[in-house]
Amino acid sequence: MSPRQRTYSTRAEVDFVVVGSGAAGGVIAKELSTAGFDVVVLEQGPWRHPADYRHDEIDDGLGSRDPSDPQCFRRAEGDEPERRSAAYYLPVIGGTSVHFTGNYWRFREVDFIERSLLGPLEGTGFADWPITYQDLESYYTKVDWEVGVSGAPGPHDPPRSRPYPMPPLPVKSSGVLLERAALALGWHPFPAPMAILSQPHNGRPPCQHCGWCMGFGCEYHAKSSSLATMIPLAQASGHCEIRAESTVARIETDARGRVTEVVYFDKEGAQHAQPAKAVVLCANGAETPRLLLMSDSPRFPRGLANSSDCVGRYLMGNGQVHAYGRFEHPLNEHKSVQVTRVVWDFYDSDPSRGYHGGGGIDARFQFNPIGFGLNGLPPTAPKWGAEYKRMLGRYFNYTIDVNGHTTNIPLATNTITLDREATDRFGRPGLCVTYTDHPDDITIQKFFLERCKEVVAAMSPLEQWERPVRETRGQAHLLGTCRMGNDPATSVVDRFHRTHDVSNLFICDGSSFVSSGRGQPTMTIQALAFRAAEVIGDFARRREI
Amino acid sequence: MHDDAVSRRDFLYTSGAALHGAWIAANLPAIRAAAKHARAAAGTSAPFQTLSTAEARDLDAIAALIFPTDDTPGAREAGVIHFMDRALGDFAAESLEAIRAGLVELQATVDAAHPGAGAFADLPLERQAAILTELEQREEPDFFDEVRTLTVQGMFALSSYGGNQHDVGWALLGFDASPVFRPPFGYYDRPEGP
Repeated sequence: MSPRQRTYSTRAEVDFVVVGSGAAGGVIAKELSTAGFDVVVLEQGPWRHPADYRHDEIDDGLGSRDPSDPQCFRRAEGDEPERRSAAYYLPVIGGTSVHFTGNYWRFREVDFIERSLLGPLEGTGFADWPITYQDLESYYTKVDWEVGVSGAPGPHDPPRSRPYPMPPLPVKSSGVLLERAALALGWHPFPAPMAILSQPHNGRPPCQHCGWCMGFGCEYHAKSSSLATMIPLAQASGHCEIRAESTVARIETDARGRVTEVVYFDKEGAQHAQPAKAVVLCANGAETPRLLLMSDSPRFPRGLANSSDCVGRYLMGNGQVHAYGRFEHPLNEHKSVQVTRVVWDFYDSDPSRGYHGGGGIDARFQFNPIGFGLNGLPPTAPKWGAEYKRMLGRYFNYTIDVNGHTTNIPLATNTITLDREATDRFGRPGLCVTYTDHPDDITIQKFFLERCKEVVAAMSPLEQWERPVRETRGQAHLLGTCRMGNDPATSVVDRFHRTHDVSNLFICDGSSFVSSGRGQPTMTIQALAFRAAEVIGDFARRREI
Repeated sequence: MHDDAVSRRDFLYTSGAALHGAWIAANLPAIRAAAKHARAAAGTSAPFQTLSTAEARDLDAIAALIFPTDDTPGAREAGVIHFMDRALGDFAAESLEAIRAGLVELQATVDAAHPGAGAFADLPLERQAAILTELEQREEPDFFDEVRTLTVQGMFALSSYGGNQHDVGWALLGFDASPVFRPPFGYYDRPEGP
């Protein structure tokens, strides 16, 4: 059951319908409702509560994407698709933020202006954002304080107008090892910014170090998910209804080409429509373009707000590489948060390398018991028998996983499209992910794998090994598919998140990204959402919607 | 190795929340019922509900090769076969047909190599090990992967699912399940320094 909240009739027009309640939707709903606008949030997923969460690798208590909702993957248009999941997200109230790891890196100045700094990349959608870091800084600070981020300034930090609201989480053995080794290499490690509380904040308790962040709900509410932070404030405003298990199928428009209502199915499959003065799509970088493509009409034959043909294109995620080390003494990395130290010394793209790309490094462990039993040992280790069993005991608490997180270059051919050959239980077409890595995205991963191996070696492990770089076959960071820009011919939303084609339709989520950043997009998704909510509210008050 | 053909579960368990979620999405629509069922049925003496006795004997033999009993408890002490029996009747039911087909093929392999020797579970350990090695090294080791996945799950899942009895799997790893923990976490972050 949902907590107490105001409800709205589908017979009356509300000010805003927000589609999606995750990292972006939670912020937008909270900001608009506390400003006095009447908001209905349509979320396909159910309510989950701390009592549902389980420290259980077989059932985390969060549920899953509707297994009847089809996805497929192919490397290129024209390839026979593999019918499997390829766009990973969690459909619950609060979205994927409910089970995320909480790495909250700000973007740096360079992420917004890289095209101007470095020049074009032929055959790609490499572009500047229409906004800068300075435009977003105060909203990053809002995320720090209102959502709750632990951290301490680092040597590579972009300028910040206010200190972190609380200190970093206690350093783990992986953090100590990374810090020492990085310093020995002349690098500049610093405490990881994490959306997990190190101290009581906004009425929530700090982390209890149980170790079940990644892929699990936080029963303490120490992890700063939208569910723990924004959704309760939206409901308490008295101007917001979070309507769970409401799967949006279509956005309707009138003869003037304005959005009028949002058509959705409830969990029993009954169809409803919620009229609204304006709609904000926050459904994530896969579901937002899918919804626009599903909302085609004679006036919008390529899909709603898609005169640019950019809806669903320029899909990006982030590369992630792994170098492992095993140590003499116990690390007990399976307790507490995933990451406590990061390295940004290779953040910028270096044209002298001859290819584009940059990233960041952190140290973590990333395994629970079953996952470790299946895949935690070095690739040369036996997979069964007495030696396998003995090694598990000698590796589980002694292993770290140094990660490199890297850029993806936007390509028009990497897409979210509709799969007309498959439909879900509501009759909606399936979602198809088409993705082939740009060669530079593979090369920068190899560069980062070498840096990760180098820093593991500097930790003096008993042994080290790595996971080879592989081509991308699915994405959890769903970015770029309704990109922001000043030119309606080459972008979907303007610098205020308003679609170029429909004046009362806004989009704010990972799909708004113009570049991928270096590996941790959620902080920027939420900064964009705070900014978008402010400008959208201003437009509404000035009757400019 | 068979990079592209890596079993879906192995791939999904490898790294990351998203992958974990996808695995759940792909495989476990009836998972809540499963957990309830497993809790209700936990205990080593319960009769098999999904597997025949012969099937259970062979699967138990494979699990005991994967986690042999030596100076520490193995798959048998963990009750892995009871986890498998429940899982294959419930949240892993989609694997049951493949497991059964694999067991039939396993028997054919045993019959061909060791006529009259009986079932896989009746073979001497070294012969069992030789056959398991052959299964593992196949170009498409689906049966090996499925049984290994179930065995590892049965060794390390919550004991309420019927395996990992008395948390012997967690003890093997040194896994600490406590919901509240205080630093220091490990040797290198102790206040006195490494």
